[in-house]
Amino acid sequence: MKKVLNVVVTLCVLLVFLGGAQAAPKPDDAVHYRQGVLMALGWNIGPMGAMVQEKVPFDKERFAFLADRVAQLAPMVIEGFDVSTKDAKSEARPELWENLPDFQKRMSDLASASQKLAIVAGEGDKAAMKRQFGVTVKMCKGCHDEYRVKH
Amino acid sequence: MSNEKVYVWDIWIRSFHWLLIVLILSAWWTAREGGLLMKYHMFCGYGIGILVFFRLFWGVWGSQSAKFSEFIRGPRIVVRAILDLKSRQPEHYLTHNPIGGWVVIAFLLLLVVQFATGLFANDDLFNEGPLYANVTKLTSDWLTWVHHTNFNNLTALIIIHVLAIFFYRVWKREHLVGAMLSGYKYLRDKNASKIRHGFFLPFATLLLSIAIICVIVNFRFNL
Repeated sequence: MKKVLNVVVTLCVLLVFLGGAQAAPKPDDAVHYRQGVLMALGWNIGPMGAMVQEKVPFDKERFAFLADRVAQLAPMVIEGFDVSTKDAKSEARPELWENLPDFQKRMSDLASASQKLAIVAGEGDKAAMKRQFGVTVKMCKGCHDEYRVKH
Repeated sequence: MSNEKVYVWDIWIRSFHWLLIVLILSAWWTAREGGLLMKYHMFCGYGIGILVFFRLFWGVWGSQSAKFSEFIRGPRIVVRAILDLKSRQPEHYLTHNPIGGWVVIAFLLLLVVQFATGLFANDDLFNEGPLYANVTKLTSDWLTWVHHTNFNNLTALIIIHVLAIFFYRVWKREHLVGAMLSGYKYLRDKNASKIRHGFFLPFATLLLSIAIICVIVNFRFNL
């Protein structure tokens, strides 16, 4: 009986230890995290773009709803760009790590621009929404052009 | 030396050439700006598609100087033309010279690739080519890569083309830009080329090209 208990306790300790080891963020996790957030950003920006281009009817409420999400998501991306992910498999170009301060500034600009977009969307002026949307997506493109592998 | 003023480039070929420049520059600029301007980038692409189809048809049944059969020459003649570059004598071709002929083909090929890949491309934001829905994201990403890479090929060929025009101007004293503007070359007494003066055939060819592009991009006029 004691022997069985010993084995069980040992296993539990081992499991806790392994679990703990898994909980520490690995570079690959950080990459998956940021890819997930960026994917979520794209998921919400897509329908906004369709509305701005009048491919679908412009729905101010839905636009504001999506803009809120974008404003929440945009500041979350940078956490995933930890230096530990420098050599992880991803679409980030080496230039990103060489110009990290520039990249960080661009990300904070994106965060402010998307916050402003959410505010403008709340006010309900369609022309202003379109304008601020244009400003915001240009920031997306900026980093895609500079810091993302061409594919 | 008595040179004759010969009409070689019809108004359609000249319009094709200069409109193509305007549209390529506009397409380049709108793509660089990106975002909401991508809508206009796509319009430029459709315009270039119309021009390319027109040029392909006009190369088959158009004016003599525009016909592929007039300026596509075999390797031996091309090699001789390359050796001829050493001589400072102006050349007297009624159409593209044997080297330029192949450059025309290269341009058209690159433009067809550029047009076709653009139809399926995406910008990872909210812009998609008109045929994007027909392919997977992975395929679209690859075609987008081809679209970007092929633009570098196009740029390289444009630079070569401009340098060549400059070379002919300085080394051989040929006014090729003037000919592409006015339509006239000053040539040794050779038979004047047969330019089609009719309006119906080129206009019908243009309409055909527009129709083809409208079908390809699934464009509907809101009449």
